[in-house]
Amino acid sequence: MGKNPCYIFTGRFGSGKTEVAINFALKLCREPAGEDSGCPVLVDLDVVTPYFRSREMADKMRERGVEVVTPAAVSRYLDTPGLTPEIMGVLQDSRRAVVLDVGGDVQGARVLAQYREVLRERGYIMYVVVNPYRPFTQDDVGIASAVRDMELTTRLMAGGLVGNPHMLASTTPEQFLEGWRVLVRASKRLGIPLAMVAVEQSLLPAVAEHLPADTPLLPLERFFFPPWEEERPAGG
Amino acid sequence: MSAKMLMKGNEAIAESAIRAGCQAYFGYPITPQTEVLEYMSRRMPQLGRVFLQAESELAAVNMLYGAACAGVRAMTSTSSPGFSLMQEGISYIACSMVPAVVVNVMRGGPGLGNIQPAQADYSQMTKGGGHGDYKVLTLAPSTIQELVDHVGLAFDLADKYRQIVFVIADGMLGQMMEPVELPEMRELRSPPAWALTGAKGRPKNIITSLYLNAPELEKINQQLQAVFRRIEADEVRYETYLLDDADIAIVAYGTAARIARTAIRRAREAGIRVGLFRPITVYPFPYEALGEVAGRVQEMLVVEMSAGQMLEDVRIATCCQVPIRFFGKMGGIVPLPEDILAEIEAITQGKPALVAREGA
Repeated sequence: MGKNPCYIFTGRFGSGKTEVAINFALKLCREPAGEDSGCPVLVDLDVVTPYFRSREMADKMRERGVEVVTPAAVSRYLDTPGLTPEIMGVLQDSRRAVVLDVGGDVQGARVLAQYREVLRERGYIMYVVVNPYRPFTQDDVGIASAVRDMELTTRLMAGGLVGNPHMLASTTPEQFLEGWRVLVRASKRLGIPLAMVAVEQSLLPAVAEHLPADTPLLPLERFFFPPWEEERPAGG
Repeated sequence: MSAKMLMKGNEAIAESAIRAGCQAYFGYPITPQTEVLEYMSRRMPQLGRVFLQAESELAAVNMLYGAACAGVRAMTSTSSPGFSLMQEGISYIACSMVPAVVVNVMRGGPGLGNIQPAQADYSQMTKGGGHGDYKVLTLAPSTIQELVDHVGLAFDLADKYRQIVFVIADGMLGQMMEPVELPEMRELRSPPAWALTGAKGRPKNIITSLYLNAPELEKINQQLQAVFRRIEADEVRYETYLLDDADIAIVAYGTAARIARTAIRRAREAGIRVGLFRPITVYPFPYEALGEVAGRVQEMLVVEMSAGQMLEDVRIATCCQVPIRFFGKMGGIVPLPEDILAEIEAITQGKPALVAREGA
């Protein structure tokens, strides 16, 4: 593994890859892991989702020290594959860690295949983001199929699950914990580590005492809101 | 897992149709509704039902027509340019008096436009977008839960009136996620007596939209008009929010209504008595109920993601009883609560009577 690996976030549609990738990038910025040198570059590789994508948060990210590389500028308004050569350049440069936000499902993950060789050379950790409240990933069978689909499509190995159990703002601590248990069970049965569990900051106090002390938590700050929701003040 | 699920609007459309007993789905991919096809392509074969990706929207709507004639619950979904392509088939289905469901997840237009949310197909959907004298019962959800409920209801209403029924949604509703409670899976209904199921052992059924004999076609038209009068009498749906004491009524549907609610809450905090009138059926439009509201408010504000299409219905409903202000966003731009709040404040300018006194 190179000293600044590439962290890849894949998963089914709507599993929360983008929110997780953004928050993970900000976390790396705050707490560089091991030899990682400071803030990573966030690469938006999503060529299938029409709305709510990393590129829409690019300015906010840059203010906080995370560089964002997006598909061609025009693709802010498109859902066509418009990948720029810049992306390959970022992947080849191991001086900085890279966080890859990949589009949903097999269709979204397919785009990764063209970077396979450079990723293998550089070193990567591919995560599969799972929200057990979403269709098709509610049990072991569904979660296993999500992992298998991502591996077969990208021909990269999944290094871990990222649990993201939530129902948006209405998530109760009980729902979070119920979802977390589904993920722990799936992780054991599938023999794939539960590398991180994403939890919205406001829920953290209520759920922390019910989780084992060594649970790798990724506190989430929400970035995407529908236009009628009041945006909450940005947290740490 | 619990019964609640976190669903994208497009997935909710698909799963709700499945649970309502949709046996055949035909569609052609177009953003921002393509997830309906993706979801259907995965789920329908699992259930032994029909998912078919057509070669175009023209093909999809005619397959829908065929399936409806065969007496199965059938649906298609599309987005604005695709919906335009379907108009011929929709007119045929309406004349043939067979039940079918079409969901339009509207995007910015005219022309190819863009893939962002819009509400600019209102006139096309509510006034009869194809040729001939017909109208289509059109449900206008504003949450993902309502999208689930309306898709199920659309199938029931289609059966009840033997007519095509629309669900009018937009890219925002299609793409966003919300927790939903799904209904139980319903049993598939058997083909009605009029369906084309093979005439062996019974008199043959004929379903057509071709009537070369003019008096005969006039009679068919009269039958259709009678159905629309029944729909207008029995199926009007609307919702009000904080309207009882309101001086200003905002009229909005779908996503625009959702944003208006937030603006209304903020305006109320500033002491402005403003409420919402939200049509849930946009055809039949709640003319009578809105006319009654016009008699007791000082002013109305119509908010749409269009140049003002529902505005015409509001004018008909209110018969010049109150001044009407319009605020619209076009081209895929979604209005913000601040925009609507500014419009509300503009109405109150120089009219201190519209702002509640301290403690009022």
